[in-house]
Amino acid sequence: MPQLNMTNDQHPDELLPWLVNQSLLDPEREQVEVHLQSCARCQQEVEFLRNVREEIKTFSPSLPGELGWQRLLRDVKHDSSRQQDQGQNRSWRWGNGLAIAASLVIMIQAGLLMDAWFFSKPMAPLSGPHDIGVILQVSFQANATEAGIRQIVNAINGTFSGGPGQLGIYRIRLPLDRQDEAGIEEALVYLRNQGNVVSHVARE
Amino acid sequence: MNQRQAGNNQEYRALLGKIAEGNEAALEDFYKAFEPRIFAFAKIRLNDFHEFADLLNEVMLEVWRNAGRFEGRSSVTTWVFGIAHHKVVDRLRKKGKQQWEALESADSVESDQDLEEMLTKTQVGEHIHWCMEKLSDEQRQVVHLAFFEDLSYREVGTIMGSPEGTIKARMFHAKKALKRCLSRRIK
Repeated sequence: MPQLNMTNDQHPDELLPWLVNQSLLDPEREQVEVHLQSCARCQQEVEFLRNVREEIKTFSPSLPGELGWQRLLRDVKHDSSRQQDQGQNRSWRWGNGLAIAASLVIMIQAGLLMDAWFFSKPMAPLSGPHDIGVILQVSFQANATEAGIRQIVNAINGTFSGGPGQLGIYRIRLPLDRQDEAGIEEALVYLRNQGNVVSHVARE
Repeated sequence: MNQRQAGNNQEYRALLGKIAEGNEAALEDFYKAFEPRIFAFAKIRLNDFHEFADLLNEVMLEVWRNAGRFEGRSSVTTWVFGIAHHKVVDRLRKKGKQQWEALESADSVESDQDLEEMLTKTQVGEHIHWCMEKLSDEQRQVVHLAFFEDLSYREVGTIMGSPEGTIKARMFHAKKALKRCLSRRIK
């Protein structure tokens, strides 16, 4: 390390902030401290920097907290399942083509039968416990952002009541003034129209 | 790195090891440790709560994906903030964000003694935060990493991908700009 050549005319200005935050290595720190003992200007400088640092330390923004963690957890699970899918896709390259073709035929046949049944039923909640008041179950698109989710939940004056569950479903409670059938339907229609953010919505 | 930081670093490394094995509880501990720090870092560089939250999520997802690749060449904090820094730069680039005009450094400043007296006499907290916002993005980042995170100029250089001399110079000019701004506001 180069020796610092400091006289009273050559102040170690560039090192003082790092002295204040106690991150200088010992040789640097010792030399700056020796200089400080006889330099009133640098002592004043250090005092100023200490005040600034103390103030910056008080900085405490409000945090996303549990909602942020739940969002990360949802994305992590999505990420993990996507990786699994990719792994399976790689192994499938060497798989049995006949078995896949046979499965496809069965799936198409089943799909034709299921379609008629599925569309004859209203959308139903996928899972979850019961709660007081009107709760909607909502899952979001994988690429939905916090801003997008908040915007649409705010638009119906909803509050997060729980989730996401294993299927990535959030429970959103409707406000008291929106718990009549018309209000619920309006909220459902609104959410269903937000296809770029919402992937599924149903009343619990 | 002081003793406390070294202790934290060991703890974070242990968590990263578990995260690399897919341990979600370890990720939750890691998230809780870094949430306020990443959020504070985002807040000095981006515009609104949603952006801060998105950045936090992106950084932690990156940690989840790459925990196994952490080699310990730097501290865990430096590694995480390096990820955050690059994510912020990407965001700003995509938005074509205009940099704050750095306060010029040639203006006259009240004498250090005057300013020191004013600092002790006045409620300066809000002024310091106001003046921080007037720094250039790079200056603000260096001050934040130095005084909120207590990182060394070497670590800050690693995070920002800049030489140590550049970091020290940015800090020096940031301090001058803060002084000038404060002397104007606290009159």
